[in-house]
Amino acid sequence: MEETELIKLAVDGDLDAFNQLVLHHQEVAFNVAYRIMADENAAADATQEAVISMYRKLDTYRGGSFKSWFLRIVTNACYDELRRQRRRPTVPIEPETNDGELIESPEWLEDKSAGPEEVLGISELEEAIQHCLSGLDKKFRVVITLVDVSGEDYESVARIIGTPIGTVKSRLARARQKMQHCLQGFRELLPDQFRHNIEENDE
Amino acid sequence: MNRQAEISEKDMTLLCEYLDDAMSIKDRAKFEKRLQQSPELKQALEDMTALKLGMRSLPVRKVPHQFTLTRGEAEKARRGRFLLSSFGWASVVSMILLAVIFGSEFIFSNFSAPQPAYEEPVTMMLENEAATESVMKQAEEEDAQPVYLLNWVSVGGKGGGGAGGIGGGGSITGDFMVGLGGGPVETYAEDAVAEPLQAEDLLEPTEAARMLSEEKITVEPLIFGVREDQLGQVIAVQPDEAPVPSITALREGVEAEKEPLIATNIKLILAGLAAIFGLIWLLLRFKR
Repeated sequence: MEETELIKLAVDGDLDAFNQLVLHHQEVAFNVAYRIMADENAAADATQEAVISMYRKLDTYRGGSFKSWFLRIVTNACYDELRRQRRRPTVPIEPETNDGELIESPEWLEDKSAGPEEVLGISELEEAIQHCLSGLDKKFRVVITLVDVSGEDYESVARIIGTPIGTVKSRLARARQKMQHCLQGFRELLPDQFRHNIEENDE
Repeated sequence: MNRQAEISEKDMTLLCEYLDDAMSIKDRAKFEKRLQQSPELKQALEDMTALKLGMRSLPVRKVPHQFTLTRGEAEKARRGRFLLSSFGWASVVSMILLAVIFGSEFIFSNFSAPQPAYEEPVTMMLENEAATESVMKQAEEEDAQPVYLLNWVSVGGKGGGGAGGIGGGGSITGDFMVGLGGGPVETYAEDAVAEPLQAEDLLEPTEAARMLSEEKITVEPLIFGVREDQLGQVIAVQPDEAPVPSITALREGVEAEKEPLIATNIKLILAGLAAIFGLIWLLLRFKR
């Protein structure tokens, strides 16, 4: 069934049609959320919230790209999640000695088994990029994620984040510049081409 | 030295547009010329290309679980939406009603023209209640003495003479007044004050005046609201007996004027409802 047909059925209250749409776009939505949130659980929460929110707002969908509309809801859910995290920052588990002093790097917390990165086969490059991405201001992070990770064009991004296209361009330029600066610290992790470029820049 | 520092922000934006294929053909050709001439710009483009490739090479994460909704979740989401919109609208309607009430009261109290003109003397009367009552008592005491309203005009002298007559009757100065049409008329203050005057004692119309009077009757003009055949007669010996509104009646009137259009209780209830609905709406929204 075509997407427009599914959208029509979903707007009319067909839950199965709605779920079909979710299945079709959930991977992109989750990946965008993951790059923005830099945490799998938070990204999953944000994506689930976005799906629920999308179901509630189905009657406000006014045509156009469904993917862009969904991504807009996802980015808003990510912003909400980030705000929530700022309001309720997580406290790291740090055991205390009998005297009440904190134990640094407690052995009992060390995980001797393979880390999730190894299990998932995530490269060091990804780690470096994600680190730099997380260091960006969220307005830059969202733009570079949507353009470079999700592959959206400028107009779509402008619709998703609700800003003029000129703002998207300038934010993207700033975001890429900041990313390049940040990645200079990880030159040994980067592929040859990238490393070569950075070394030339340093000369 | 980092070459990126030499690239302006505008050029960085142009590089992005070039890289993301967001330039028009004309602009693209122009920018390509610039790229050939500027090694810094060319280097920056290579850096940016590498970054973009790096970003694109990031592995696609598998979703930890399906994000589809069950029937129960969908029902819950729909219910939440209904409650949220209901409380939101209820709050908005209450606020609008309150605004309409306060707005209309403000308009009625500030822009209805006759009200301030009427309120002032009534308020002043109430403020001077004691003074008013004493005046009324004094008037009652003097009620025994009749008050005379006299027409002091002859037909022939209704010009200057008429006016002189009225002036002479009203005042006690005893001026000598000249009636332009009716000839000289003498009045004395002692006559007016000592005892009630008989009209015929005060003025005997002349023959010529009588003739003129007969001519005028056909026209029947009113002189100071009095028919000509009533001239020179006593038409009232009592002050105007129109009923004077009592002070309590006036006070009630003023209180009725001051009473708001909508009872204060209703306004309070509306304000309370608006606040409660608004709070519930905020809570639901925050919870979501």
